[in-house]
Amino acid sequence: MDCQHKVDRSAKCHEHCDIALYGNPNVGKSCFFNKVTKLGATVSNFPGTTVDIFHGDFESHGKKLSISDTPGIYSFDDTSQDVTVAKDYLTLAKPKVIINIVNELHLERSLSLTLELIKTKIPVVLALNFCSDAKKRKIQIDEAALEKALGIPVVTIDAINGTNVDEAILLATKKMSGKHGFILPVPNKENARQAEAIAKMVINGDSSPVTSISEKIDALTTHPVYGYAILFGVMALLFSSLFILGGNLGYLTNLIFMALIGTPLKVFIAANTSPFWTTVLTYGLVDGINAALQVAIPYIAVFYIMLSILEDSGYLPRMAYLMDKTFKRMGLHGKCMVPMMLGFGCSVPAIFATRILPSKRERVITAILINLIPCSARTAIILGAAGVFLGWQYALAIYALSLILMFIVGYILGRHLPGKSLELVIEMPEFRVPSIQNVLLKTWLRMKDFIFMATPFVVLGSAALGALTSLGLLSALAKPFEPIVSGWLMLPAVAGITLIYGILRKELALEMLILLGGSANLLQFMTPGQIFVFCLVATLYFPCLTTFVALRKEFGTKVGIFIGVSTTALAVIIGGIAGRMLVLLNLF
Amino acid sequence: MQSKSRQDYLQEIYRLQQKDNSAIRVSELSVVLNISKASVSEMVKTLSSEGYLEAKRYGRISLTDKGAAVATGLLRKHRIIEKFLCDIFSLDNVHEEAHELEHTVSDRVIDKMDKMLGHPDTCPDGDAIPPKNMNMKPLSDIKPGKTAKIMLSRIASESQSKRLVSLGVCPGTSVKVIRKLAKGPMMIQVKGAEIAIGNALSQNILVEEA
Repeated sequence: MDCQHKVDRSAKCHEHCDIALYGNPNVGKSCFFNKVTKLGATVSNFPGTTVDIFHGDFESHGKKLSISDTPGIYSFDDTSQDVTVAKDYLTLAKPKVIINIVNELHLERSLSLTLELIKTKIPVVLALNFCSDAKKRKIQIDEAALEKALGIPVVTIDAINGTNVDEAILLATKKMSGKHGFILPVPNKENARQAEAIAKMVINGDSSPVTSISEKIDALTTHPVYGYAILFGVMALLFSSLFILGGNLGYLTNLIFMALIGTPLKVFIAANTSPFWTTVLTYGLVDGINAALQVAIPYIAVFYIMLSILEDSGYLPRMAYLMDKTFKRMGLHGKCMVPMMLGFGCSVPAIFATRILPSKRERVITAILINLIPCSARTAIILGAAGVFLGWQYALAIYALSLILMFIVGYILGRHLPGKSLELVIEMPEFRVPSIQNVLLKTWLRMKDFIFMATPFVVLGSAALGALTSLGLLSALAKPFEPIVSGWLMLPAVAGITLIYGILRKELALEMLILLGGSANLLQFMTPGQIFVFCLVATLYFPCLTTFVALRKEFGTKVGIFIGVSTTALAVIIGGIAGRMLVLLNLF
Repeated sequence: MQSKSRQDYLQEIYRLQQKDNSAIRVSELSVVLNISKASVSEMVKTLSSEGYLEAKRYGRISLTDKGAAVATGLLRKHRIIEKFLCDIFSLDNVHEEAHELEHTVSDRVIDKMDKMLGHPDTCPDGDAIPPKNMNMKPLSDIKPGKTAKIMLSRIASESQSKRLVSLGVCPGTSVKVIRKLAKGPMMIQVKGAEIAIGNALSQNILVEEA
């Protein structure tokens, strides 16, 4: 999961909360949070980006305050996981004041939640967001009348450029007494009627969308024919840029690193240490870091930039709409597309994102399928090995194979897992031009995790591998796995070791393979067929350790172990079959 | 379909379905009607075999189009009588009398009463009076570009019907169909926002085309 500096994501951390942000999904709570705390909560243009509580500290007028960002909800009367998170936080943390952020354009609907919040007895400040959009549609909201009708302070803000954000905080701190009662929000049918009456009173102008550019793009991207053509184009663009940009970026970083740091360091180590330590340190510091720079980081960076653009533009929900029918065949619906898209980046945030799905059944199916989606670490292996040494067609074949397997597994699960599938319900946000700043910030936040968590793994893993090599222990370690690795999968024996490393982090499998083979050119010690089988197995087998931990946390040990064992079995079976088919085709 | 108690069943189911925005449980019905669960189940079976009710998932039941038509016809009578007794005779607590009268007053008398009252939209309690000759159909049958008013939900899943209510998709709201995919999801505009809903949901939301 995106690991954020000073942001505590655990819902258990509720000792102290001054201000809590509540509101419908996609109204800009996280944007507001970031403006206030200067921290990075993930902001996107699709509903359900925040699925956990974000906590941050800041200073306002010499006062130290804490603020929490919550998952977007429409009402507390809902059983889905994100609503439960938001509701539990309110009960446990009992914030001193709530800032309820609402989208001016959807005031009537938002007011139902506002009324629910007011009834909790916690002081509420209403912040009307996106005023620039409302002006475009010629809507005017009578703030004074709204204040009077609700009995709470109202302020118009623009969270994107920060207008009046300080004002909202100031209003909130004024209301913050800490001495208020608390009543658990109860669903009330009257709220909707009351909201309608208030909205009628305070809104001037027509809130229905006018024909705008966003509308036209919306019509085109969800068209029964052009829509799918665009979808195909977007996916093709995504993966070709991953292949071309990622590959070249990797080549470039490798070149720069070796010229500036790698080679001098190598010489320095060789001159100053004993042969054993020379191997260990060179493996760890030079080859390890080089592997991370060349293999993992470029592909991951490019993917996250592309994904952030897709998220912020508002295209993802349109994809959900178009893919709904396909997902129905797997007992799922279009909304499951959102966590799955994240899965192309990293399985861990994808598994947490399943919280936006309403039922346990679809969360489990989606989480299982996420393990069969090539994440960016797997992409690094597929493109870095099959793509570079065999050609893009082979990389594409592995991609296609794992997606076909995903579909088959989904089809079987959809038919045989008890319970009925639910239906798509998703709000379509307006199209927006993604801000470069937000795209880069988000990419950096997601990358940080890989850089700071993965690099030590790579360095230590490589060093350990160096030690094993110079001590001559490697072949002994590879022995027990030989029947499967060499016998059934027809891979070099050392490949087994690298696959064990891959459990720590997937991309380590390839990085270690390059180290062990002693050459960045895999073809020097592997046949094309072996490279293909290796990539296929590395893609499919046991999800990495972090993913396993995430699965355990969300679904329990049983589901975690089931996924671990079944994916490994699947990888071994499919890998062996694929190898034999390549032999038959004379391609091995 | 003449028996009074059967009509009461249909009407009560309609009310409950409107209230919950979903298909309902037999146990719920038995509580509201104050009749044993066994007898309610028996009647539900009969009404289902006659095509007025249908079984849904999770052991829930819902009116069919035919059942909903009978129920709204009756509800129209009930609410016009209530309105009449209140406005013309200045009576209070008219529910019981209206309940008795709705089964005996003829259609043409109701039409005259309606005309005399000036075709009111709501009954004294503020509930909507269904229009005459209402033609309810599933939301999935509405063509893109058309607007329709939601009348009744037959959705079995409680969590989904709640999510829809919080998005504003519940009886009484008008929705505009923006576009749809054949046998797939449809995009609707409700309360100024655009929402995509799956095919099985739009098939289970009964609307009246504007």
